[in-house]
Amino acid sequence: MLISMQDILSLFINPDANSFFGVFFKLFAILFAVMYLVYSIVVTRQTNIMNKTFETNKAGVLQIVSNIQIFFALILLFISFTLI
Amino acid sequence: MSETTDTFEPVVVPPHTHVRFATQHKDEEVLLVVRRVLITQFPWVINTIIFSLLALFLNIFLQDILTTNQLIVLDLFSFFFIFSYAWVNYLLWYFTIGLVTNERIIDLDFYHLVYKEFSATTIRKVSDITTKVGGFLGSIFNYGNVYVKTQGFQQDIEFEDVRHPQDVVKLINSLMKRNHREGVVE
Repeated sequence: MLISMQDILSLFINPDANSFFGVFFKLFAILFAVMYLVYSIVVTRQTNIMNKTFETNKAGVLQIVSNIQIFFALILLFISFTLI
Repeated sequence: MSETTDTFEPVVVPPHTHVRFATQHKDEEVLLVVRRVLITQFPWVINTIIFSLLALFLNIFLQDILTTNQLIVLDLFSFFFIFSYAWVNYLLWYFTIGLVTNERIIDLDFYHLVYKEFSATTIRKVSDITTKVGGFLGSIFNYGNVYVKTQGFQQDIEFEDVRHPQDVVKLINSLMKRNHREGVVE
């Protein structure tokens, strides 16, 4: 069975989910989503510390916006597994 | 200086406002909260806009290479990452503050989210205050640095790029005078 150069190239540039590129894209998406989740947890904890260090009447809003990022990270993780 | 507690302005804190900090004493009252003036935050705001535009333009070039699902995922990643970048910068700006209370002068700095520096001195220990307003923008928008020097080897305090630095000095001076009078009476 002869494999042409075109076939080899298509493994890398074909966006299809089953191609090498597709798998590579998915793995990176999962990796970045996990990293973003860790980062968003750190941001949430730090916001909590900042709010305790200097407390204003906007503390609740700031904390909620920081917490939303964990939700964002979970969305990214979910779609990385399911959508691609 | 206006007497409001707007999120974007350095403020004189009205008595009814809920502003507290971690090491606040029982009878200690926050009189002034200063932040860097908004115009100094332009670089990260501009970066956020540029990143958003880049993410949009990237769609045009990548639509032939990626599948629709992959593009959606990439867009969501871009949006959330840019949002986080802007949010962390906002938090760093919001919580990097200078405080003047009826007892102390406090400088609270946050660097890169995980590093915190807390410097404080009592009004009694302040030996000298200077302001520095410089540069084109500083002169136009009336902002600059306030340097609070303390007696001995104690750490000096610096409020950087604050609006109306003269008013901050005036307030600290009046507190020093009051403190001195009280000290003489005692």
